[in-house]
Amino acid sequence: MQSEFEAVIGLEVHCQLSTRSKIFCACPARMTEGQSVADITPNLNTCPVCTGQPGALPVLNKKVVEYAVLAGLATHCEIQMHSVFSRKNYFYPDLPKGYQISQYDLPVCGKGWLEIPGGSAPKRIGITRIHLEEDAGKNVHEVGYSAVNLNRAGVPLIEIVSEPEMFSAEEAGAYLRTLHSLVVTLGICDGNMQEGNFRCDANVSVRKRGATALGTRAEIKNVNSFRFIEKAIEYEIQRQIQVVVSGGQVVQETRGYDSDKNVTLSQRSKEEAHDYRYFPDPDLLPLRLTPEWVEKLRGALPELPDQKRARYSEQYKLSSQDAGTLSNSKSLSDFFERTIALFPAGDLSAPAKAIVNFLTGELTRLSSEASVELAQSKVTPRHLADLVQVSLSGVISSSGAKQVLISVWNSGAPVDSVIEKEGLKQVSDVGALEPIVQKIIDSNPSQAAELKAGKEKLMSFFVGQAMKASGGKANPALVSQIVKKLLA
Amino acid sequence: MDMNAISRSVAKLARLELSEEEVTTFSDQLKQVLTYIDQLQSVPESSLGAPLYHPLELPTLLREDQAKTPQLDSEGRPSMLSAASQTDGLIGTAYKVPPIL
Ligand SMILES: [Zn+2]
Repeated sequence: MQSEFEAVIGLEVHCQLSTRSKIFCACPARMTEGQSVADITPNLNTCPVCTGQPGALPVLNKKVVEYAVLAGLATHCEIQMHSVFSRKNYFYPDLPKGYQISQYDLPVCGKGWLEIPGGSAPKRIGITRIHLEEDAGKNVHEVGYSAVNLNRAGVPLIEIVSEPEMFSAEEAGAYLRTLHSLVVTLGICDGNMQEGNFRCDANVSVRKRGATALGTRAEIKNVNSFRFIEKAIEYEIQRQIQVVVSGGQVVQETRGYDSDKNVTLSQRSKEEAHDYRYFPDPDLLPLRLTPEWVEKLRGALPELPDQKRARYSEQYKLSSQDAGTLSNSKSLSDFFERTIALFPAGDLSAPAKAIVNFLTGELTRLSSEASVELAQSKVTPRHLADLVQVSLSGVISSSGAKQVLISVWNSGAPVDSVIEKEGLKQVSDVGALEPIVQKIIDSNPSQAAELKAGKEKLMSFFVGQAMKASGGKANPALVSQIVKKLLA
Repeated sequence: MDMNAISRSVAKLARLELSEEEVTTFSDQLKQVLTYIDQLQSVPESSLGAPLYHPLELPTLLREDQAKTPQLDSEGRPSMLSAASQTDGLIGTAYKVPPIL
């Protein structure tokens, strides 16, 4: 039933730019590392410009322009040499001027694209535009009145608008994660979703599969985690399909997401809310860029996730999936780079693969279970490099490696001392293993004969028996060599 | 075109309360403005240059990204607060406004 429908999703992402000062005045836009504007005394970081006092004039922050251009270059956007600030007019207490300074018909960046990891090959999602604007303040609702804090008013934002080219909640999630890692890598946004410096609105509609026209869309506002955005979109898709199947019509509206109940709820839209009467802001002259300036910024771009992905595949022979997972997470790729750097030059494909397996498997699990960022954990690149080394050389088994990792996660103790203390060293001594293996062969003559006759599957039986006899400490690769030798 | 309806809608967006008389007055004036715009629109586009976004042909000035230390008044409160008609003691130094929700 549901497969006759397909969902169409477009995303609007607001990134707070991590500049020192606000977009149009010299008020601090952020405090020391890790502190958000919300932590500061209400209205401390305000001045006549960002509180909209009569006669105060905005002056554009150069860094804000550069950050927007960097975002545009990294997403292959057409950089507009001439762009214009417009006033978006509406009344709300957190907007002291009665308008938000934004960009409308001439944004700083035009069409571009972003590549997201897909099933078999990366998929390209179109970007419609990137424009500059100022953030609004914050309201706190009390009984009988509201309180307004304008510390956030005038903090610089870029809004990145995608084409409606995503067809599932997973694709939308992949787009957001890719974009998030991109702006964090560029160093233009702190990317902290809880603090609201990376926010997303999703436009969701459904249509009969094969139809080309878009269905009526609902907009899901301000969901503050990747997981919740995916869940909200998934819920909204199913809701709209139900509406259509039962003969109803989807209404164009704004919906909020209730994460406790996992539902989206209609937020009755204010009348005429979308009549913003944009017009060019007479207080601000057009923004002009020069090709030299743009090229200088292009030269300053760091290695971007898609370049990183290509390099990982090339340099370390990682699969495209592994390379994609790593390059899309700044914390994983940083940890990877610092670990692989501890290995001597040469063919690093085996250690690279092993590092990725630990990073995306056990370490990701431990990190999410404990809600501790990898970089803040007790595990260091040195630990991981040592662990990979002893695993690859057969000193410990794969289950032993897992055990070591858990110990290191908890204690931060060096890998070799953990192996020693927990007695995890594999027996890789032929002299010690041979008698054990011989004994197993002697007591299982028929299996031995069958294996000798070519029934390779039986090798695992002998390895299993040897593991058992050695209390799990035998090196399985070595056992199988010894079995072959003894049966030859 | 129902000019009175347009006047009321514009007034509502601007949070202005208009009497019926005022609606009539402004509708007449608005109609003249719109007639003039219609007249402008009859000029062939080919005879026009690029749209003018600002009467000055200068690019905007830019400032370096430097933050200045916030200003406090003599009582150590954010200085902009002196412009507030009401502040909220509970939240500390927030502006107090009529309830939004
Ligand atoms: Zn300010």
